[in-house]
Amino acid sequence: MLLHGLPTWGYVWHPLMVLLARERRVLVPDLLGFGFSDRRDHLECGIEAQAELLDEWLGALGVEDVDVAGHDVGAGVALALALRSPRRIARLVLLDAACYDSWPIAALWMLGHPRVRRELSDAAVSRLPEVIVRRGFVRAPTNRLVEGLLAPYETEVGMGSLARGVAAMNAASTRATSRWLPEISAPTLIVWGAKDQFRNPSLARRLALDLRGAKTLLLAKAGHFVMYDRFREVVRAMRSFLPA
Amino acid sequence: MFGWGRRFPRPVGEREATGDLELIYHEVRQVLRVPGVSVCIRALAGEPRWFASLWTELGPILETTSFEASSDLLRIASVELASGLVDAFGPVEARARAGLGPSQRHQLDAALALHHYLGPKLLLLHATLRLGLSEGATAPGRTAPGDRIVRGPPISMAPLELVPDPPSDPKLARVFDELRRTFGLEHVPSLHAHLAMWPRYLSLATRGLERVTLTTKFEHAREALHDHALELAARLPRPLATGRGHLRKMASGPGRLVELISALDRAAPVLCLETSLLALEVIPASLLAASPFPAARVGEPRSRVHDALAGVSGAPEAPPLGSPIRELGR
Repeated sequence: MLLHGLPTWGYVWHPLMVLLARERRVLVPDLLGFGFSDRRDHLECGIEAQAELLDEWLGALGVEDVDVAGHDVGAGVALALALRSPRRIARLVLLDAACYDSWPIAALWMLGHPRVRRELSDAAVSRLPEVIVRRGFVRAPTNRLVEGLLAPYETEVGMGSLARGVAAMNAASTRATSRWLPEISAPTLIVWGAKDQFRNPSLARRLALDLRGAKTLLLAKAGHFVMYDRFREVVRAMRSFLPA
Repeated sequence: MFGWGRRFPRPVGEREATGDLELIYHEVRQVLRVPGVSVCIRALAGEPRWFASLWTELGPILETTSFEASSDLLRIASVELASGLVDAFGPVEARARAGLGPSQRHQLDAALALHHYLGPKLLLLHATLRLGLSEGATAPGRTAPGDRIVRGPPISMAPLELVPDPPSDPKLARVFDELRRTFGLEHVPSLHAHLAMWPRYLSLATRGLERVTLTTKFEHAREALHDHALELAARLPRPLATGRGHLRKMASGPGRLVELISALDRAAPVLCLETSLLALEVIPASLLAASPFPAARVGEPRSRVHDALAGVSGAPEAPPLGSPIRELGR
């Protein structure tokens, strides 16, 4: 199961999931309130709620044994899921994870803050996700890729749901779970872009200490979207770490 | 609010609205029980002074059980007329051919339920405005609390999600241009802007509907539904703001506003029938006739109110509207 981060959606995994799908079943859900999942405004979208929902969803699908790869907030959800349902989660891959109190980044936080939304023009607010996404790459992404990554947030409802979701998701959950990280028994691979502007690579080292026995792969010349900046290396590492 | 060269007032977006209009938009959502403000109402808000005065009187009327019950009757009529069209021309078959996944079908069905609920209410609203223009206002009347419906959109109702106009996709932009020409409006109706979330479905739906909407039978159905709406609107109070004199005083472009009201009045029955035709692909007429989001009356026992807010239909085999996700507040 591949879990996306913000402000993207399952599409962020598209080059990787095509390759992985040759060898195994691949599930790529959009987190509740994001992507093209349900975006009604009363839904609980925090990390714990996402983990609970995914746990139920996997149960409904009859999936008892799953490897989970999470990027950004998706990694935070993956960790919460591993704590919640340790028997179901076989292995973890965490890419530039939202962890401890390292998130949300200021630009995303601004999306959900009423004062900022009053002071910035609509045009400026609507450009924030694109600014964030572009900063997450070392190699400049194509316009087509950026459009694809932000497609669900093109409408007012999509943007509103993103803002609400970001406001609902905060570091309280990842701070709370950080003390339980040593309890996670699933073998874990941590992948990080050395030039990630949003999550300092020192967090990868800290996670590796807390997740006993975790392997770490720090990739030079890679930003927050490490799976794009160093695609081949990420694929190779995941294929070698995850059994077919 | 006018642009040079525009035939109609420019719609005021929900995010653009400030001050009094922002408050009115909030009221519109509460009173019409929908999570967004449809584009036709935004277009009327393009004359903000007039619109504010209209809303002061119109809002309380829209909140009455009589308005809701009349809209329910129009919905039933729309479904009956659309069923006759399906018997004559066959189903639209857009959903079956659009190649949608289960999530997309679920969300599409929820979108159709929203418009199936809202369309007849807008039809009645536009008929009221039209009557005001042609026959003048009537005494506002008084409504008791017991005559009001519980406010707020049902929690199971889908968001009113509209693809921005103009869309970035050139194929979709061409469809939107065609829709504007077809409806004689400068904006794309909310129904189609919402269904544009699934572009292939919208394309198949518009082609499938054309087969029906260009026929004499459809025109007769449209007229019948329109006349029914006028009949029902005639029994409701009509705000002073709907009268021509008031309109001329309050609107900066009264001629354009009159044209807009007429155009919306012509489009509304078409939109109701189109929604019914599309929904009949999924739901049989016997179930479709019932309101997908029945409104509770203020003062009714709590469980009924709660059910109405949740959008639980009284029908034993209600269509599977709403998300499978457990909803908070239940």
